[in-house]
Amino acid sequence: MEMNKLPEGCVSTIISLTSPEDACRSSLVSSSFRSAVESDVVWERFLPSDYQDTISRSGENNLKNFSSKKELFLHFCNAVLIDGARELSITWSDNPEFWIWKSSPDSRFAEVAELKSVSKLEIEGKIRTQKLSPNTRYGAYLIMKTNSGAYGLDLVPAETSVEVGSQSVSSNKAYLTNQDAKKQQMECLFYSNRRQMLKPRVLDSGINGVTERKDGWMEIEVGEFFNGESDEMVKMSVREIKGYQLKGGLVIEGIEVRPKK
Amino acid sequence: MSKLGQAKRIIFLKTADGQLFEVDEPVAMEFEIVKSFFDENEDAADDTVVPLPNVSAEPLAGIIEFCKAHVEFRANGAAGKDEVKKFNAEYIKEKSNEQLKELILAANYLNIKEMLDFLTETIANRLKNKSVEYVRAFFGIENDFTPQEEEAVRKEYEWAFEGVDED
Repeated sequence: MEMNKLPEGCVSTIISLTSPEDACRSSLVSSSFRSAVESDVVWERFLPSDYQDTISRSGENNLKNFSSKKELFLHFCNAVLIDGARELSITWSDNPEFWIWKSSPDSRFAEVAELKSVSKLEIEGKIRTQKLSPNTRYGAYLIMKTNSGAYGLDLVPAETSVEVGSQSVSSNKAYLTNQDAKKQQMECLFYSNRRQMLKPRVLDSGINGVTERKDGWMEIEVGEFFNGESDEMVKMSVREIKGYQLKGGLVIEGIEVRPKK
Repeated sequence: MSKLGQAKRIIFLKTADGQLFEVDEPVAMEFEIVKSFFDENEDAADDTVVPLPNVSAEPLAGIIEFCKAHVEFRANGAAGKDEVKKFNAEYIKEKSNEQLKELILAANYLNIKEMLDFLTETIANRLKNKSVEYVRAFFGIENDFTPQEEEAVRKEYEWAFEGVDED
């Protein structure tokens, strides 16, 4: 090769200053680029600044389990950072009339919060962006389930929002449960008047629903945000306070934050 | 020469294309490769010509301009201030991708840390959100993957290929 070839270390440094997406794309440039992209120099920079702390707190993993910084990065992409339900701020959650705390065998946390009955639902989670990879678009998801006695969750969509710093970056609406067809029919019969009445209060278009997860839980998208390079507080919240609809049977595991593809 | 003379020492550098440059000592010492040349040859005569077989005249002139300005910034206590940023932005504005590449190759060979940091960041900014073809053209690199290998990499990183800028 002639002299106009940059050494691999130099290419790795350049790639580390772009973004994870650019880095992945660069793998396709040539075989020498591909090997420059694999370098720890690249992925170390994309990792959250306190990744060591996060890994050791999660308990399930050890830094030694990862053969490279890239693998570690992908772990952060897939397995995610979680706020367990206890870390969330849930309105009235310390009142056992409304919420009970219990352990759930399929939860990663000691306790989950189960909603008995409440009219005003407010769940908020916070995370500092330094815990996340810089220059990456993230989605926030409320991980939840409904138990057999669930009611009132699909009548009025909850409002979801994400704030970075104190700026609102995303706001949307989501139903807190799947609208099962049969049940819907019944509810139409029972609640049709009330539904009519509620309609004008909440907009009905572009409402998110519940998605099933591989781990047996379900999730709804709370919103998304772009994590730049500065350290800011991200507030993610799910609220249903407009409809004054009594609801129950919601089980909250936590809020998950993961890169959005 | 008078020992008291404050006359600046001049370092002679000779490029691959045979041009001779006369550079003030503090500027030339920014080049790690030149510095270690003199560290290793302490008794080198004042008119020693340091050969730079991997650098041609055009990028060297650009590098000298950059290092000279930065040596002065440091001497004036302006390092890290706005005027440095302004100079850097102005410096890079007129440079084509080709010139940038020549500069980084030369800066890498000469081992000039400050300039390398600046150039890697500048190039990274120019490559952000660009297509694979753009990056290849930028570095003058040929695709050496077999179609199967290419497909495998594309699969692995599928999500990274959407929504790039126009080249």
